[in-house]
Amino acid sequence: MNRLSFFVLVLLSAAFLGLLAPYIAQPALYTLQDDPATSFHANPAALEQISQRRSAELESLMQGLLDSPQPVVLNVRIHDFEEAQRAFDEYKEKSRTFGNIVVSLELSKSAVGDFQRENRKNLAALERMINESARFAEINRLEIRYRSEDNPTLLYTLTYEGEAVQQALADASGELAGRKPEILDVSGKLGLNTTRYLEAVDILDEIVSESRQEQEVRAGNQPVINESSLMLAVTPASGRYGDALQVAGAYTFTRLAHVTLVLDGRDWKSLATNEGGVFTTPLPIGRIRAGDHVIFASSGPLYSNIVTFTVLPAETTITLETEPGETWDHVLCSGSLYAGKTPVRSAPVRIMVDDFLEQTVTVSDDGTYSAIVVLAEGGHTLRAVFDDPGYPLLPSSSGMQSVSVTPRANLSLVLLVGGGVLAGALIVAGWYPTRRRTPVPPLVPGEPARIPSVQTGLHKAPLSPIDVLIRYMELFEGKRWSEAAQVLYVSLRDRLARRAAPRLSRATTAREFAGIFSGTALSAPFRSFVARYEEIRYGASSLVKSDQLLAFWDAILSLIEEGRHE
Amino acid sequence: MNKTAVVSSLLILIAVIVLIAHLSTTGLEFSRYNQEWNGTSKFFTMLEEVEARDLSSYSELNDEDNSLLLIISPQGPFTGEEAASIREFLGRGNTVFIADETREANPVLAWLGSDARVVPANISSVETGYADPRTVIAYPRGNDPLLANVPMVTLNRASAVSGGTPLLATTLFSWDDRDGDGKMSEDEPLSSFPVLAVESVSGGTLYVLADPSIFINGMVDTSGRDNGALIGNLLSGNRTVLVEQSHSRTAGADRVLSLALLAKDSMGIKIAALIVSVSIVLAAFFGRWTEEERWKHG
Repeated sequence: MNRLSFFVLVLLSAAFLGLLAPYIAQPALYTLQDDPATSFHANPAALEQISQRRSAELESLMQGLLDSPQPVVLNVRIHDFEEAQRAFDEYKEKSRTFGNIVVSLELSKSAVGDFQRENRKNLAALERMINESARFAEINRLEIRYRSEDNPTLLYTLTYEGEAVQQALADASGELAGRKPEILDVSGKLGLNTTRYLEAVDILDEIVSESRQEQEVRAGNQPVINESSLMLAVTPASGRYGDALQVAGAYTFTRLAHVTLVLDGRDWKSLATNEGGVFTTPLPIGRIRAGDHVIFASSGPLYSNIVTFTVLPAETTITLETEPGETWDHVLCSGSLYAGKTPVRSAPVRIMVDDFLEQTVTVSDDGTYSAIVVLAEGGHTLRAVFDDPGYPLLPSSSGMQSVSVTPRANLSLVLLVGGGVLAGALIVAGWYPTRRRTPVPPLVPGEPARIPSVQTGLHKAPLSPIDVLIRYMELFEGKRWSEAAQVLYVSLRDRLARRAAPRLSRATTAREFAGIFSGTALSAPFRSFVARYEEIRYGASSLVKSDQLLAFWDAILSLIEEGRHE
Repeated sequence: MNKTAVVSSLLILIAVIVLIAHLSTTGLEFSRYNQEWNGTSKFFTMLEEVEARDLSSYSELNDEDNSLLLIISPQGPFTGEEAASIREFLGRGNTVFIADETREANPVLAWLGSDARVVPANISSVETGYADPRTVIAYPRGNDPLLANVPMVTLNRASAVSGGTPLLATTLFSWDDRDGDGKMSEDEPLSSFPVLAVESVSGGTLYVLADPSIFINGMVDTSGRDNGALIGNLLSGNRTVLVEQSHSRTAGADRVLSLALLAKDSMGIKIAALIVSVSIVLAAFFGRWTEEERWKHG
């Protein structure tokens, strides 16, 4: 090579080294992860090409949610509550789907999230609207019935109940109507058509107006009740959840065997007066709507005066704690619900996952509740809510609990793999001692050593004790203690192989072999033989001239000859 | 020549080719010489197919009619003369297409008397081409020859355009991800963002796209659908396509590559390189001859 070529080669080498020098420390010269993005753009090759085209779906769902109340309220108006409930269930399902999308796309903090929240409130108000409307329609039916039965007392109380239900109806409708500006604002931002939603709000308003008129007519026709000598009183006149009011009455003319107390138009309790014509009973305030209630007593043709008492709403406190369940996707929820210091027994608590109802649990007598919810992989928020309007209790909500669930290794898979490993280990463990077993020195010098085996022992006649002793002595002389001890053991095993065959395998150790004969006359000498055998074989112990091993071997042989090994 | 010399020569030849290939590329953003995902080498191959011409001096615009001027990812200030040349170019009914996301095109847009502006933003959406909220899909919002058979366009970290007539816009479920967390926050309202606008300026047509990334190798679509259809429409028609190379990042070349390009474009350097090459060959020949003579006589 001339000087010029050499110069060029050196130059190129230097250039290449210079180019590669910055990357010497990096084993991988280039990976997509090294180059995911710049300030101008992301590297498409490093991104998963998953096109997410959710706008149309979101828009359609939101429009659907906005339109959903209309068929519900139309059915409420024509008193087809079954169809209204079906339409409402569809609405609820749509809301759930929408909620899942909002969570998965992390849109909770956007106008979409606002829409979701407003929609959820509408959903709750609409559910109350259906229930109260159905109840109001029932009151209307009862009024006709009581009028035809000419039952002025029940008609009288029905007026009170109608007033309460109509008020609840007006509240629910007012809630929906009051939310109209927010809904219109959010819908306007998202370009949604609010025509059907506004129609629904108007129809609700009409339903409430009609119910108001009906109630006013009922109140105008409220019968006048003539007071009889059957007297009734409730003390105190008001109370809260957990309190017990005292209902007391008297009929001084004679003892009444059967007095019925009618609370809010329904038979509540039957009792009898005492000798003095007096009856008393506590009225515990439990699951009863807050507000005014009416109660009277009747006994045959006798009716008491009508007494009004008030149930005042009370504050509630609800807690929620979460902990992992038995499987990776289970979360154990527990908490308590109290009104002051009183547990709210049998109350329904709703467990909300990502702001959607997951399940409803019932509070136990001590005020606690627990539930297991099954969650999809990922992060979730959990909340417990109490808002049953059937109780005279104000709604409450627990603090938000954030949980993250990630799959754990499948237990059955772990067991399968573990079992496989264990089985493999057992096979290897069985095979290894056999492989390690030292070939038995030939019993006759010059004869090739044979591998002791059950099969061999079974098919070949065992050597005579004399031959065994000769071989033993040879090995003893040669100070091959271990092999000498093995010759004795193998001779015993070969003799006893047929007897032990069913429980014998290639991997059976001397100790296990001896164990086969436990409970026979061989047991004791064989155990002693094995103990000494193991000392020599594995404990590096030396044989002595009249070793115990030989004595035990002799004793076993004698017992075999006597046939006492069976 | 003995075997060692042949092998050495081959190795040297291969090494020189590899070195030249390496030095003729760059990693600069949007560079036409960058063959990686963030370069525009593929787009420039498409430009070659339509016989596009580089515009290195704005004086060349003076005689152009029925032409399209592409200004992709401009940087640095435009001079008044350059802006005036563009305005005159538009005045002759030509078309200018500016793709910018850093608002460096805004001064020249103001000079041109355009209302369109690039509004720096971190547009994110639920409507994306990839698993990244910033790979926003935009949909046509108007009728324009540029949008013929373009169902949608996937953008990559786009900004927004204000003014002009919007031609492409994101869906309503998009937001300006100001905190860059990839999620929508309370102060990041949902909105539809225009990303391509058109405006008639001085009798010509001015397009402003808020994302030059549609031209990079990683995004350029040669299938003729979506992004490919938009680029196809842009380059179609019997008009001269001019590619701005004074301010555009597509002209980007690092030092070594600049020298190579300078050599390629300079006649003096070409002659010098030829003389050096011939000298090397002659030196090698005489060196070999001298050695042979020495061997014969020695």
